[in-house]
Amino acid sequence: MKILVCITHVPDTTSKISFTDNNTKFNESGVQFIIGPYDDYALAKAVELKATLGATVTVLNVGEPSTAPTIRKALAIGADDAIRINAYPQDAMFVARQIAHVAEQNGYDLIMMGRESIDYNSGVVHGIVGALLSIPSISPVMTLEIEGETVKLTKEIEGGKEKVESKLPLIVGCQEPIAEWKIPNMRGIMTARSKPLEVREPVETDLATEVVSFANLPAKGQVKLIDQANAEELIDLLRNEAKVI
Amino acid sequence: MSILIYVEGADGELKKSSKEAIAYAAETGKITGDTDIIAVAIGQYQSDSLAELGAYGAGKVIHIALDDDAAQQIAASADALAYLMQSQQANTLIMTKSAFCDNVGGRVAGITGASIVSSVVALPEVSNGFTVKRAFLPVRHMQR
Repeated sequence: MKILVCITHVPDTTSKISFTDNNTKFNESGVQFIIGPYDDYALAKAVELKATLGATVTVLNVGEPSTAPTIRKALAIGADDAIRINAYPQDAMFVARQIAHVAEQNGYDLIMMGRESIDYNSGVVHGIVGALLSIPSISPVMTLEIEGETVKLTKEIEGGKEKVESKLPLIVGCQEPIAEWKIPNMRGIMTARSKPLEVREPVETDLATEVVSFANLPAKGQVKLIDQANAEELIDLLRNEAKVI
Repeated sequence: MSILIYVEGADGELKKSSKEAIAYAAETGKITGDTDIIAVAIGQYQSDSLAELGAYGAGKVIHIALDDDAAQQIAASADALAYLMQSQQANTLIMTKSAFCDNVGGRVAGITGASIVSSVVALPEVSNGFTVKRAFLPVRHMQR
């Protein structure tokens, strides 16, 4: 069984956020980058499947050379090899087309990723890849077991869980508690240095969207308390100051 | 051209967020000049619930009365919406933010080749393309 795990290279949520180039670029200076936490769940589950089913695990990242340490960490956790698509992950459609192209070339049984990245929180890449490859995509997946060609999984739905069965090939967006996050041990870190990390150029894709500018959230104002007998003042503030009605 | 809104519900009733999405679509239509605001409901709904959508700005409601199990199939809903985008000459599909809509929206984009932007928090600006404000980390940024 061949498993592809797609990982994002995202800012740690404790990072200080600022922008450069007239607020058109995210300032990466001093920012700690990590494997996307949901992607980490996908990777941990893939490594478990490697141990139980003898699967091979390839990690894929769409990113510039600066993402190499993040990819090496994924290799240290237990992936066998890695592919980096040498491009800035411009938008969800761009990333999905790169993933789909690699999947078409290499033929994976199971494509795993996080339910969403933690920078844009879109959660749409698995769906796009599924449509591009004409295979099922399921997310957010909480448990996953494979019996022959059948995948048995639990998916979160509003107000509960749903048990689903699907045939391979399949794309899943993962979340807790699909597996325990794995911390690389010293042996893993040492062997990761020599594991293959192939760099490929991106397939040509028309960019669907572009970032125009970034802006920090306005500073929070002070709380205004309105007397319950003064509803008109409340409505006036909501309409003319907060502009929410 | 038209704007489609996918409405979500539970137990035959529409979610409040779907009604807000229709109001958002109606306001978007005023900005873009798209006059046909079409709500799409897939699954089992009370007819009163669907009739109510007009009050929020929908000019037309398309109801695909699949049973609820089938309506929860991501691929089936995505195929239906992709078909409707073409048949209704829609240039925009608006969905609320939920795990199901993320799944379906992604597949619709993959099928139709449409651009997709998630976590949108404001009405679009159209002076230079179609620009929306969306969430990014704890801040906001503009995306076209």
